[in-house]
Amino acid sequence: MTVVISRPGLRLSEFSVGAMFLATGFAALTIPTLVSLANQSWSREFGAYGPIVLVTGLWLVWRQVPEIRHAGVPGSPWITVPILAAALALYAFGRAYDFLTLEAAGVYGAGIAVLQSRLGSAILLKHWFPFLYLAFTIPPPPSVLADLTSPLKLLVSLAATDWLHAFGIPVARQGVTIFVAQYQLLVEDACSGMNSIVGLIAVSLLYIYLMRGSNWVYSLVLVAFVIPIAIIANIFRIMVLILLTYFFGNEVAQGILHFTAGMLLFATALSCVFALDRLINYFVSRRAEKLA
Amino acid sequence: MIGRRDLLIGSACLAGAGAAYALAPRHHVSLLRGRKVEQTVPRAFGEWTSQDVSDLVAPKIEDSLASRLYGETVGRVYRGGEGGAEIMMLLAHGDTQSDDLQLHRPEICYPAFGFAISQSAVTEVALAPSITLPSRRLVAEAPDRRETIIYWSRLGEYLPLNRKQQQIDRLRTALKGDIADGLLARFSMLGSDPAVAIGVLERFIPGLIRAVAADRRDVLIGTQRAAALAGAGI
Repeated sequence: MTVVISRPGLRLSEFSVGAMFLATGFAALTIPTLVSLANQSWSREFGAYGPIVLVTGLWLVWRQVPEIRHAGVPGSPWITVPILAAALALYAFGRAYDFLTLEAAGVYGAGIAVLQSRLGSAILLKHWFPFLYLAFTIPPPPSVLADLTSPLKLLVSLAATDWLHAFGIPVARQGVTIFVAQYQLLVEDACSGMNSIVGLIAVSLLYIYLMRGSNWVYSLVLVAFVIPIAIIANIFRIMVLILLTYFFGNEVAQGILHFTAGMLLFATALSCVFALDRLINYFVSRRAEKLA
Repeated sequence: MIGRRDLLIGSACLAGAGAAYALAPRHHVSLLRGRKVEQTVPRAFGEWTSQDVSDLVAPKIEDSLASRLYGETVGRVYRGGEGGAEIMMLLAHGDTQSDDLQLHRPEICYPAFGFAISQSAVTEVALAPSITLPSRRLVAEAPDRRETIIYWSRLGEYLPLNRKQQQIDRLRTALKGDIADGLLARFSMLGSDPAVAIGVLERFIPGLIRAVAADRRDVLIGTQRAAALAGAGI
């Protein structure tokens, strides 16, 4: 048995028929799912980060292409087949019975199986970050998201009103309704901002990867900080909304400033992540200098 | 042998896409049968008369969500019976129930609008001797109001009592190849004493259902219970 690494004599027709089949098959899976994602997830506030992750993820993969292309060896079919089978089963079930999370996970799994088959497991593990990052395109199930964010929502409105009350603003709270002077604010699902937490984690991971490379310990540490940062940024945002309502009235707060407050939340949270990263690196490099 | 391997994987993917297409339910089943909920439920019966109201689903800001979820919503306030009681009715009907678009249950929606749910229990509303309707009973509290609610939801022929059951029932319908319609029927009363309100609602609901034409009651309570009522001569 001979191991053929490069085969200059590879017949063009043989190669292209196989590749064409692969491309067609994969497109048949992917395109309907992308349409569903665009309609059901990306167009909503909680899934708005989806296309950003997809595009940046594909860009990260594309960046690796020159390195990967020649290093890859066909992967073991003993790994490809189970991954592909599980992915396609998930896909068919999710797509047919309308569970978008399972459907998207199926497409993702099938993509990993294709790459594993063409390039081998070793190279995927070596360049794990772009592939793991792309998993953020799988939307979390809406019900799970709601269960996770509703206690946070309460916490956020509690903290925001308590702090403002301490500063003498006439603010009261009942459940997730906030009363300030004669106005009534609602920390709604859509505007609570806690939904953006997944998007925030994804963007933070991307930043860490681009700045520091694929160091998974460091990534985990920073992600652990993203959740409290998102909560604090949200409290800050609701305080801004309450103050706007108090000083300028409901019209102003619910209008354009509401949207700006949403952007502000994301920007604040992201700046905190960046600052934290700088801080950690400052101390790490100082320690390194001392040791040297 | 990359070429042959690609061919196999590509075929498997095509087979997966084909299987999803073949399995997908396509048969729309709507118990509304092309008619309107509005015309199904009488505007007046017995001592009760009603007035249409439009803002029972949610304040206008949520309009887009509500209009995507429901094809038709009927909001009415019934007055006149029980010595001047006032009952709010909301019927929301959606033609297709999917993961993305499905009935929103009041115990989830009310907190989103600033109500705290102080009681939530499963209950059986007696429609006739030995015919009951599985429903849920809620007490929702806001600083300036207390609302007692009885509601049920119909998904195809199922009457799920919570969100998980609703998901399972949707899957069961889909496995049969059907895309079912969904209906949320919510009746509520304002007032400080939930026990009194529950009593009024539990008399009102069977009265209203009996006042619906016998062959149209399935829209509200499903074919099986509608047939049982007709069979009992009601």
